[in-house]
Amino acid sequence: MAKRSELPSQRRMERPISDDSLIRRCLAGEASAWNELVEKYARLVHAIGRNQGLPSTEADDLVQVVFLKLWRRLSTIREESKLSSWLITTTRREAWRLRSGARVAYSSSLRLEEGLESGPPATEAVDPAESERWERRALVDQALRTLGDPCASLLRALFSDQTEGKYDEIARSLGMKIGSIGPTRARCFAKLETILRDLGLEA
Amino acid sequence: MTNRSVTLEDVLAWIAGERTGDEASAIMRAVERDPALAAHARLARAVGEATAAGPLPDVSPEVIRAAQSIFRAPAKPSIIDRATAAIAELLFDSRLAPALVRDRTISGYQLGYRAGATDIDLEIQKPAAGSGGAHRLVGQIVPETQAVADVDLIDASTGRVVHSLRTGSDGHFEVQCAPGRYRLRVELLSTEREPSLLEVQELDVG
Repeated sequence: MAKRSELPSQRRMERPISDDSLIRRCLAGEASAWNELVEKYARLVHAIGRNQGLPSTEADDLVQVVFLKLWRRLSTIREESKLSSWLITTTRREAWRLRSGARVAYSSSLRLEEGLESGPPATEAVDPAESERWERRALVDQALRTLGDPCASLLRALFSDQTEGKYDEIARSLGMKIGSIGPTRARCFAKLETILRDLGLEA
Repeated sequence: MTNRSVTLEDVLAWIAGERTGDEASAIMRAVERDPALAAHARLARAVGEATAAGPLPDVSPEVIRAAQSIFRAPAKPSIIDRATAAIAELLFDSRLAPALVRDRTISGYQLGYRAGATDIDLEIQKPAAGSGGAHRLVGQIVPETQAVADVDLIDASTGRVVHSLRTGSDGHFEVQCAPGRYRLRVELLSTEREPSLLEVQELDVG
């Protein structure tokens, strides 16, 4: 009997930790929980900044400003809203400030509510649909990272490549037989579904 | 297709545009009939949209570390009774922060303190030309909703109050002062929370 290559069902995956749990642990003084929050969301904050037209170095600064605000707001965010939504809205607002050349004095950025007082004009307001798209993108990204390779690479390749002959290319790059791609995709997707539901993304 | 049930593999292939004609129609009908297949299809479309833009790019380890260094464990309450000022803990000093955290638009430095639920943000600006060497100390009590306060700037070496003022309704205040070591005593006037008397014990200006 031929030896089977590593199947996704044989991999052990860690269940994702909820934002509520991370925030609770941060408030209890656990630095490791804060480190996890930063690891989890820094890419999203940076990507939104870049998407808003900021050069990379300014997007780096944006990450610091947004996480400083987050740290100062942790207790209220836990009570008020979903963390990812808050982060997306705050990041868009702060990116707008940087992009528009507004002076972002550090002391101002420390002020908790100033975004509400002098935020972007209506035309720059955060579109709920766009916010939802970012939220979904972040969740799927996080779920794929949790899933790990080879499943994550396979799903990314199959979902993002709509060209004919993609199976040949994918089989070659991932070292799989063409005939096993379809069944493996289904098994990988079933695992991704479980992770996404744990993360709160419902179909 | 009509002789067997539609599987998740079929649905994914259909969503990916790999099934056409009668086969695609059969899968579509099955998805319309079966809520479980419909849920798979909706999630697959959502994943497809989310992955179309590619993975979120990685952020440099330096940026991650700088953001992680923001964390400080919550301060233990240090107030003993109302007559004793709560010591405000230094949370942020821009002179010690990584370069990318600093605000490049100001000439000076920023300090952030916390006591209980109240923050005191300070910006020490270097003397402007013609100011006679005086530094400008700009402060903000946060949260602004309960931030009206009496502020005393005390010379640390003599214990003498060199400035006494009341903040604006938004908790903002400004004073000019010579370089030196100071203490800053803040009495919150519009808060029902404890502590209402806060003190920054070491404030270096200059």
